[in-house]
Amino acid sequence: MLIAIYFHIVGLHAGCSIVSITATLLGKKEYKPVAKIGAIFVIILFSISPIFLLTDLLQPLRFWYLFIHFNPTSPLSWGTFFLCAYPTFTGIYIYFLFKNNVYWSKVFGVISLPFAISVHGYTGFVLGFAKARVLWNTAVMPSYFLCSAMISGMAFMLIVALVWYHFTYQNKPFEEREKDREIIDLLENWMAVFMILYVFYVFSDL
Amino acid sequence: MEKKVRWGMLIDLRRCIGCHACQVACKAEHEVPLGVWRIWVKVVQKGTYPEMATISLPWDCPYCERPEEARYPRMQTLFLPWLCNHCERPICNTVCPVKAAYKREDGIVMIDPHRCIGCNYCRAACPYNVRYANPITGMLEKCDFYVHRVDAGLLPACVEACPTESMVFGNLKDPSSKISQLLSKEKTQVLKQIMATFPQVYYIGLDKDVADPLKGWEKHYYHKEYEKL
Repeated sequence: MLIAIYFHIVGLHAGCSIVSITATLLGKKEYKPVAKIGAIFVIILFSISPIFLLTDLLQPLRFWYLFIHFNPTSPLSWGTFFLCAYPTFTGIYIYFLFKNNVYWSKVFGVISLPFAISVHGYTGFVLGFAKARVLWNTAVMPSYFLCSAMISGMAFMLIVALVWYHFTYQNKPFEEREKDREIIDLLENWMAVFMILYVFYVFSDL
Repeated sequence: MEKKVRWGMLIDLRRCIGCHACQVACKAEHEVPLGVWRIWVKVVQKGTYPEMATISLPWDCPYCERPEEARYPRMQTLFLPWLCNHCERPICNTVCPVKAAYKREDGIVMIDPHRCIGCNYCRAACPYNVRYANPITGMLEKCDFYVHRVDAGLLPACVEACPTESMVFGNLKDPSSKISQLLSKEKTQVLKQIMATFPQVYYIGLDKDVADPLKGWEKHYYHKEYEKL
């Protein structure tokens, strides 16, 4: 149960950071609020996600065994190192993003994008390696999880952005409102694309 | 000289009477807590009971006066002692993140209690569902073939407790042991062969649809073939 919540939260912040980094890499000025909203929620969601992982262990005080004993065939063991590398690089990326340093935020965005993908991709491998469960043990599981991460991250950002724009709606000139609406439309279109992909994965899983 | 030992078990289901003595011996020896088990005698009932009136068996006599009464359901109850299979290629060893699950040189799959972090991943990945989380110690445990008794030269307690000698324990690499002779003489089956784990617990008289639930459709397929005849 805790692990299911953890998977959902990891999906949320991985999706948020993938959208944020992509918006930074595209480099247009009007995408910048999207990148910043994503970055804030990566910090908030990532700081609560390890609580669920640790409390699910039957021996929570032995969590550091994961760092000293490495099993290359186990996706959980790989995930430990992804979960350490991901906040490091994403933290540097977020720091430069809020400093408005375009060059270094792009560099660390490129570095942290594979970690953002792998930090949610490994959870798909975790389920895919459980050979006993017929519905888990499929090869599409990692990409299926990534797709659901993109959907949940985008949906979360859309909700936050809509609430944000609702409160700042009155003070803005007409042109900025149009720009905000365009960004939201773009996000919605990409979300529709990923939802179609998700439905495809659901049916190929069955 | 290299040590040539591979411990294995053979369970003759034709002799098993379902007395649960192995289960009791295991609980007493290992102090297994309530609600969990290391060996479990599963009671399997199979047959064609709901389709008794409709299905016609191939040995129905067409010249009977009342052929309806000649039809009867084919029912069977069998006892299936279910324990860790000590696979040649164990999935629990593959997925354990801290290498707490390991295989000894003589083939016994074990868990290191000083290393286990209790992540429950091996329990989710095991196709035989033989692992349990000990509610007292918070460790994952399972059948270990009574490794402390085997190392001292004794038989496992479940094998000694079996009143009908349906469980046979021995060295699979020694051709003169009882288990090797039985394996060469009898037709044996393993549980869930489709998982490709190569279990070293063999059964005599195990039906394929019981051993592998995913293959149960074949039975119905054959019944339909019989109906056509």
